[in-house]
Amino acid sequence: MNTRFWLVVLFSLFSSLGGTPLAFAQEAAMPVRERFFNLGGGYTLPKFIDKSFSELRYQGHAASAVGGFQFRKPAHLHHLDFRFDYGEMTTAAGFAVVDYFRFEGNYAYQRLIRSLWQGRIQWYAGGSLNTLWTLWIYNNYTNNAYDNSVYGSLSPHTSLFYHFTLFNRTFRAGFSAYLPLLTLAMRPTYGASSFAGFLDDERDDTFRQLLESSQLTSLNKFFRYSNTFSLEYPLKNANRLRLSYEWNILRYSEPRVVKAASHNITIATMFNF
Amino acid sequence: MNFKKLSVCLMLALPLFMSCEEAIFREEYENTAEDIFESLWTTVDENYTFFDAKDIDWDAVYTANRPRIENGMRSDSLFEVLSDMLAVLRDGHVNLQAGFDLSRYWEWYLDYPQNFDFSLVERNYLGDDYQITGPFYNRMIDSVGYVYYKSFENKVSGSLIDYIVSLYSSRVSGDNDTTIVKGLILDVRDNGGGSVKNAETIASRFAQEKKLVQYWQYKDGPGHNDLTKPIPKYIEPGGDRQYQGLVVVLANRSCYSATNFFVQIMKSLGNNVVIMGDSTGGGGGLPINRELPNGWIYRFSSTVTKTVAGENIEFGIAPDIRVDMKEEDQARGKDTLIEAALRLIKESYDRSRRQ
Repeated sequence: MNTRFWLVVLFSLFSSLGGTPLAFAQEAAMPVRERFFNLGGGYTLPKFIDKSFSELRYQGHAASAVGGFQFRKPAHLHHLDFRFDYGEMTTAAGFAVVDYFRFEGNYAYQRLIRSLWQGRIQWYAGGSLNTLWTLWIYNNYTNNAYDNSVYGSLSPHTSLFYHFTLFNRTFRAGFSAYLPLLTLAMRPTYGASSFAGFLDDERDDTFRQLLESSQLTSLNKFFRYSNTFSLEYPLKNANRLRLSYEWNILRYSEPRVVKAASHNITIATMFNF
Repeated sequence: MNFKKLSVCLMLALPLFMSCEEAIFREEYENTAEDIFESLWTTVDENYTFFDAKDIDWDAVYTANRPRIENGMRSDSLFEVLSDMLAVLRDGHVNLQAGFDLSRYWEWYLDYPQNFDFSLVERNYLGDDYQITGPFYNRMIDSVGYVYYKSFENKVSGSLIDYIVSLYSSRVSGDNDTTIVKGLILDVRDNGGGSVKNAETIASRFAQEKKLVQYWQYKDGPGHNDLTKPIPKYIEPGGDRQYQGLVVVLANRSCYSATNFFVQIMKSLGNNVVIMGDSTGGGGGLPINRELPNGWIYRFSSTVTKTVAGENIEFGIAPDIRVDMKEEDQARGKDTLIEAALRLIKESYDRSRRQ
């Protein structure tokens, strides 16, 4: 992985962490206990290069659907979030088109580490389980049109929240980020678009096949970073509107380098229950 | 810091993220003639599967062609150099596709007799009342079923091939009206291939038991001989019923790719199947696609398929009975191969009746 790549990652991390605590120095207000069911939609700007399939960089547009549950107490948070993207991608050269599918599911558990800035900001940290499935279908290809990848990761996860009042409403601004340290990755095998364990169609020991198709990997080969900025606006009945922006980048070097990134903006309703 | 200042900070940070991301996503190869050449040569070097089987010195190909490349050269000149380079692979599964041309290697059939004239078959055997069952042109000729299958790209459903098998099997109907079918001719001449899945679907109706028919190997590294261990491929009996009579498969040099696979699988099935005509053209590697930095698409063989005996099917499948089209037969409106197949089936049927 080159130096530039790491510089960008460090810059992103520090600028993200540095930006949020400076936020909205007004008043702190932390509800005692909250439970939400989220549902929403949005827009994604995805891009990728997969050297196992093409020399070209693909970029496009996708629609997003998001959902999830959030359980919040002052001392800890449970977040379960899902996002599905579907769109179409093209390249600057040629007439190539790729159908883009992406599904992401994250479960995060975080505990309150400390209150900062005279209690105005709550800093949580913990861990998360992150799953990501991407499917890129190359419309101009025949036998290797399907580029399927699955990643399951364990990550340290951190969040910062700040409650402030504006227009007589208590808003909640948030920042969260995770960086997978240990990942089970499944990518197409070197010479085909199938997973290695599934080349032999006579086999039906699915669990072993999945294991053989997977590689346990860490930062030396697999790097992924995600950060999310969010703003929650209170509605009646304790429901909320949530506007969020997520930047997500991934780099994996097996069997050849694949890089993917997405910028995603969503608006969701958080139903209190 | 107030709300306004923070908003400005965030708004400034986001374009920075995106611009740095641009640096990460810089492509390895530029859209220049030299980079396009390097990309093509390297990808083929690391992924093509028949260098050793065909005794190709790919490094020498680089040395011979690299001096012909310079940035700024015309697209058609670049296309010509790249096409020349790929032609060395002598592989019908290798093509380079630009908007204005398609490079190809077709010597696998152009250097050999065609042994087929569809017009002759249509006018003198199929006639004007044959059935068109999905992709199959078929009719009964002298108590022998004749089925012509033009392309494995045309999808074959299980019910279609079940219908064909049922139609050309001997049977006794409800009113004791007996239909005798002495055998079946499966004509796949001039069938340039398509989906291997279709080949397996059809062959499954002729398999009397589960049978090992092939071994496949995939690339698993950049070295010319970095291949997976051989993966066995079986054909199992499929569908409503299996064809019990004698089947003659007619083949010529224009049988390529999936048709080559089909002929090899049928040949593996044993006594009830006879391959007649000429060797198939070959094409034993599953082709995969790639893209060059300028958007041109190319494809090349990425697997190795071998028979149970270890023969590489890239070079074609020899017939059990070699028959070439005779000019005098053609002049009389006869297809030498169909006539030979009809004779063989009738003789075999008569022999079995005497025993």
